[in-house]
Amino acid sequence: MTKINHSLLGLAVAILALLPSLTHANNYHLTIGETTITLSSGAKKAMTMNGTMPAPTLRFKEGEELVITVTNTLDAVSSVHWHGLILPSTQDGAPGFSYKGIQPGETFTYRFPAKQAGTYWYHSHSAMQEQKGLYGAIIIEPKDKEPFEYDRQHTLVLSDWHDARPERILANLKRRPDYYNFQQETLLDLFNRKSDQSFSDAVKDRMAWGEMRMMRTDISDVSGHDFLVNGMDAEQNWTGLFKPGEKLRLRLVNASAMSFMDVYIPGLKMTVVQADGNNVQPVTVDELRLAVAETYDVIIQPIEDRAYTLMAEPMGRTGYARATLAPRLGMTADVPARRPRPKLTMADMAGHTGHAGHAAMGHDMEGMDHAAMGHDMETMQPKQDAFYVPNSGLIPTAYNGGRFLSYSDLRAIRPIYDEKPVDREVTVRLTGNMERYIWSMNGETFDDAEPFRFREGERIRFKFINETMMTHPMHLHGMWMILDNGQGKYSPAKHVIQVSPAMTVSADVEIDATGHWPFHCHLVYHMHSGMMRRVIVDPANGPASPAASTAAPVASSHLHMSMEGGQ
Amino acid sequence: MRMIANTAIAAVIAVFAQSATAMAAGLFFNADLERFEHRYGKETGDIIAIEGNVSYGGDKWKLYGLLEAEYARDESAWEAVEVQGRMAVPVSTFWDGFAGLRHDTRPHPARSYVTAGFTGLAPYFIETDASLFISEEGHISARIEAEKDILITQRLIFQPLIKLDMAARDDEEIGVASGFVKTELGLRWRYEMTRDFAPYIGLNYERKWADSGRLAVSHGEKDEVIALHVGLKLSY
Repeated sequence: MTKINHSLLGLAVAILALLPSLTHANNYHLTIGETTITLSSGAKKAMTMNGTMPAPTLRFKEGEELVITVTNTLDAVSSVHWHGLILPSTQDGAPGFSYKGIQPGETFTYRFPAKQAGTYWYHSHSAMQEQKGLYGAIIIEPKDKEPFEYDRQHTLVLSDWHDARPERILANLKRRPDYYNFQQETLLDLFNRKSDQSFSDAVKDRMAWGEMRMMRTDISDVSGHDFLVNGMDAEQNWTGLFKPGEKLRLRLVNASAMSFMDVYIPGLKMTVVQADGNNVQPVTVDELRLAVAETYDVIIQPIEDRAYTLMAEPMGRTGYARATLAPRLGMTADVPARRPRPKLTMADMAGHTGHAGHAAMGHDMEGMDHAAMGHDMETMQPKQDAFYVPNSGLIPTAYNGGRFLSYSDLRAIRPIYDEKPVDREVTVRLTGNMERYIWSMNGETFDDAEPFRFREGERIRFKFINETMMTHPMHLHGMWMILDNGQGKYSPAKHVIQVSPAMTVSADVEIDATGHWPFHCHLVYHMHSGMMRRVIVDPANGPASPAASTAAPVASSHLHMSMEGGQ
Repeated sequence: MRMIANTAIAAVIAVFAQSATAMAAGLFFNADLERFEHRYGKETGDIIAIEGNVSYGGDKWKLYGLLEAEYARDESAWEAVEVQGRMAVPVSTFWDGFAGLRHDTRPHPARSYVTAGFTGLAPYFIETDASLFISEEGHISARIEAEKDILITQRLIFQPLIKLDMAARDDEEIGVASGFVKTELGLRWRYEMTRDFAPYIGLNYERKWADSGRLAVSHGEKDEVIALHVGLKLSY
């Protein structure tokens, strides 16, 4: 009797000991609501999950079934999208695409298997709410040993907080596209030229841009951000600890709404081991650029017993985020001086066909003073990067003149897909009208365009041609994009592909997930002003799924809410 | 002419109603008080001038309400009041075409017009508005306005402006003679404390030409006035 009791007790203890890992490993409850957060510039009303910004980091194990219950306590429709995760379209979390969103007061339970490992993130896909704080990191531990080692890890979620409501920001951009550009070329700049460009060349240069009605200082559309690391601004200085000599894994997530982030740590090299959650051949760099919504994992090894500053500067240099890595709390290192902002060049404009007078423009560019163009080339570093047009003003240079990560460097360790001939090439021209702040794909906004239709089993090649002067981080839900970066069968699989001005970039997609999927620029105000398409994948053998308009009349009205917000 | 006006109103309402049901989202409301200024001039006396617009719409159409008015403080009287309603649609990358109605309650007698034209951004970032008017009396007139923002610094902005009024026929009752009616040249220096709040100072030169000038003189006005102004530009 006692024996049985003892063994029963033992069993109970064993079950209890197991419980936490069962409940915490794959089961989360998130509550979307509003919380007052504090930044150095004051108290702000943010949208949060479980009261925090960023939302809690969710940890899972590859292969397990994830159960995530989300309750929406906002007055508006909300949603959670699992960015970069391969899952059934009904669990993807984009309202208007196989899912209605989460209505005020309602709860939605997501269930899907973790088919992959790595660093990902999640965010609201409704009404630009990610700008207000609805984002967090996802870490999926792999089943197998990873091809790199580390002693300790930190997750760094980078973001660009803005005090204004996203609807207001979009309205401001619509009525005055340079509303947030306080880095324009002024008359005084013309007289205080920092370069050796002659006055007349400088004037000709300005005339050339003025003639096109384009601004070479428009890098990021929106300014006035507080740039954050894990919800803390530069002054609040998020700090991660290490023991000197330890190998640290930094999981970098760019959860910004609009800002490409250039990340470096003065005094330390970073070895990139994962890009968008997938293992890549280690490549050691001094600095890297995270397109909006990309994730990179890097290994660093600080040897000295001192603090290091991690800098994250937005591409438009409108501020910076900063964190500290230190052996002990309270230690800090110098914050490096901010670097000059880049300016677009005529090379960045070369793909621009958004104007009625394209032929005339080509003529103007030919007739343009070559000294003015040559000037752009001279002031630029002699650096080249296959993912920027030659002489682009946006080609990054490392803070110390060292190595800057290029897409060309990314080489998959184990390709996810077999090499296979492409069945169809789909041209995706990235188009827009900056003056009206309308963004589109192939000249059509989301509301006007027909969906892209594919059939399961097809291998599609997206050929992105950027005809605008903005850099677009293109994101496809539900399926990997295999970036054509010259690495052949080892080309990396990504969920976001940055397409720089005037560039053509190709990516292959194995169409292996049926349903309706969003395909869009991840700059939130570009997406919400039209740079999005519906991708419909029909089953390999089954009948074609109904067209968007008939499939989800209810959902599409939600989509309008999510797309435009502000009602 | 009444009929034309009524038809135009009906057309605007019809287009709006159709668009409003077709597009429930992506619509924005804006208000711009371009000028709210106090003018001082030897010939003009103290004048308060207002110029602004409200708009509602999206990428495919926009409705505008425009107001231009001048109030003479010395005489405690409105000297000019012009109201316009417009429906604008994009016709090219940088240009909108518009149609609408204009009604002037001052100067007396009141005049109603149908109007059509183009607004947009000319090369070199020149904001342009070209309007054609046909009054209820059948008088045809036109107006071209162009202004450009020249950034001295990021926030100190110099804005030259030119406005030309032309008429095809005399409308003596309201002081208009055919040909070039008047030219206005403005120079404003504004300081954008925010994008939506910008005090400014400036100079305005207004010249009435030929018979329009003589008409003004015969009414005891000047055909050429210069005024200093201090004002505020507001927007939402």
